[in-house]
Amino acid sequence: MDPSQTDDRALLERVQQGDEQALAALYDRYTPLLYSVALRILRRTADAEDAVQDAWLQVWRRASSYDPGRGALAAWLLTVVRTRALDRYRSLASRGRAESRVEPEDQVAPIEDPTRRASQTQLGGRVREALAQLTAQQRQVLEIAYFEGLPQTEIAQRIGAPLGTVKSWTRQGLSRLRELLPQEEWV
Amino acid sequence: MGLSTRDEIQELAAGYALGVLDEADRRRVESLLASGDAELEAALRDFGDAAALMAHAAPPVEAPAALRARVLDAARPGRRGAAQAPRVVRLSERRSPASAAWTWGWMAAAAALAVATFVSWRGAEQTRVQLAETRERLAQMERTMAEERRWAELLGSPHTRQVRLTATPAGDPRMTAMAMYDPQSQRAIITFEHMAAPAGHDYELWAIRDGRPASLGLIHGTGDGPVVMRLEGVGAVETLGAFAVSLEAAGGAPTDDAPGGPVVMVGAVAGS
Repeated sequence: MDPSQTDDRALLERVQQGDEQALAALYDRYTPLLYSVALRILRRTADAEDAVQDAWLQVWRRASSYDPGRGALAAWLLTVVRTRALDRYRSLASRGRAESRVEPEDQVAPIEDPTRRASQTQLGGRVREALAQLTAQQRQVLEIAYFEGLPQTEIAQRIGAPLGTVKSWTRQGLSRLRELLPQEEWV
Repeated sequence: MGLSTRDEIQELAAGYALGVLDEADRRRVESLLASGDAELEAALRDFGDAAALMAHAAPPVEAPAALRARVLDAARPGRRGAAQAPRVVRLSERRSPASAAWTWGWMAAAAALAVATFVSWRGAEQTRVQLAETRERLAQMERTMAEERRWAELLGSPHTRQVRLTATPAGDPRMTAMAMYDPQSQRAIITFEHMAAPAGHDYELWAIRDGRPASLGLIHGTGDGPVVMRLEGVGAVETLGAFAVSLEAAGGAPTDDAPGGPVVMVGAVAGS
């Protein structure tokens, strides 16, 4: 097992026991990635902050709901924050507040800490390079799916493609990502 | 299910991993998982990993420093909802109460092996250390066996009540659950079937006490076997009116005292 995963589990066990320092350690480790995802989905810093706060408080209250058998802690944290962010986005959209999804609405600060920036951007850079090697259609459906959470029928309507084609692009895109990024490089 | 090609299964798995399948396709996936479709399971593992990589496509940005203080302040003692939650004793998903006898047999064999190992060792100091360790292991086994017996007694108790949970119109009609609730110890063993939650969601169990819900924890089902939950402190018979299951966003409802999603199963506790 990856030593960082062992470390994650030890920290999460301490979180389950109410250890705030362990929560702070996990926060420092994962918030840059979680906040980046939330901001990419919501586009507004205030909304992204709320989504990330909701996610961490859920982790704090419900740390026992993490099941190591279903994947790494990072994947669970990403699921929690993505779900919170998408729920918030849909709620805002229904109230007409999330009208623009082309450019970020707020100015945001890039990561300043060189070590943290390196660790987050190294894999991020490889993922973006891999995405650039997909077809434009494959990349588009994957980005809409992950960052907007639209059902495939709505993705098909959005981009004007048949549903079967959208399903096919989704499969081909994820398959190609796996080929371009072997699992041993996901660190 | 009308699924015959590898590409179709892969397409379902890819959409499921991203949480973007339409309702009909999602049900097809869950039905196939419930039937033990190994190819689909493997595809879901592969695509689940690849889908998580998409997070790294987000431009990296710095979270505001004030957010850290907000989160930690909100989490400080006294504001921790889980502190009042009942303790949930997690089991492996394929295990059932009927396995208790097998468990005891295994423990006895392990204890015998530990003693046999001990007598074969040489050296007084080494033996002394190993003896202490063996005694501690045996003591731990005895504690574990006593705990197993307590749970087994629940199943045989004349006071134990059976509560069958059935799907509501909002739930998958294949889902079933049987709760064995002992009013005296306020413990319960609940066995669920066909409880694979949609991607990005979890099922959450609730006790309805005096008409108010209280979370009993998440139900970790994969659809390929029963899920057994052992619960303590589920409530007094005078107040416990029912068990219920809701479908929640991943990680469960925002609070421990109210479902955030639809109630998909319910079962009334008779005589309460």
